[in-house]
Amino acid sequence: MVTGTRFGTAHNGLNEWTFQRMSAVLLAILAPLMFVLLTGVYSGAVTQMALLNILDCPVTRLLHTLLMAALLLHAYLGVKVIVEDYVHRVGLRIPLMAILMVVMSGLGIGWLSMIWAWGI
Amino acid sequence: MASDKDYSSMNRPLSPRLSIYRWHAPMLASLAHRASGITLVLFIPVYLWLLHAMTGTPEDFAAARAWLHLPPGRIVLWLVGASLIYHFFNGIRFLCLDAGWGESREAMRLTARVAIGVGVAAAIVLGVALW
Repeated sequence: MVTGTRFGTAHNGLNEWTFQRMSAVLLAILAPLMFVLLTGVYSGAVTQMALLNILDCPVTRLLHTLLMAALLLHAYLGVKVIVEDYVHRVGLRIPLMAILMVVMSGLGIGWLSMIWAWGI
Repeated sequence: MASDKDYSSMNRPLSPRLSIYRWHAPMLASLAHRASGITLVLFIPVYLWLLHAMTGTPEDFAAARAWLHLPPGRIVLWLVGASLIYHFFNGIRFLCLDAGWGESREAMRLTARVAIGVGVAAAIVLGVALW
């Protein structure tokens, strides 16, 4: 728990609420960088060598890992809120969340292995 | 408007009451935040595929770049760019609201209109750039 006071009926309301916003701050900085790099590749301003030089750097690998963690956490919590709001049948909602969790974990593992495998 | 009967425990309207509330800017801003968020989530596997190709052989890189320039690639870049810019600005708006800034009805409406306006402008500018 973040503080001694517990919020929400399940007593984890503040946790998820806080994580959603903490990851948002991180993403507000890192996600635009990712998109700018992608548009650089699109326009031709960033060649493959330049891209690899940027991505191979240890600081970039660390920031890329942070982006991965923040993005998947933020996405999971965001989709969870939407599913909870619109999918009212519990028998459908819980399998949906389970599938989402598995897919997010899989994407995270794939992403992480890609980031740290380059040039080693 | 819904009658009292609709509010019984059997047929209670849950969360964003799309068919009950009158449409207004802050509601549209909230729904657009969710829609752009879903778009960005769907882009994650595409991003991993692009990342894999762009860091592969020079041929893979060229193929990924060629795909980005094809209509599907341009549409994906446009959707993701516009969604990201909107989600970014409206996200900052939400963080400000959480911090207690701009919580009055007038401020909520004004900032919602600004966020939607920025999103629409971004979509137009990106659309022209990627045409």
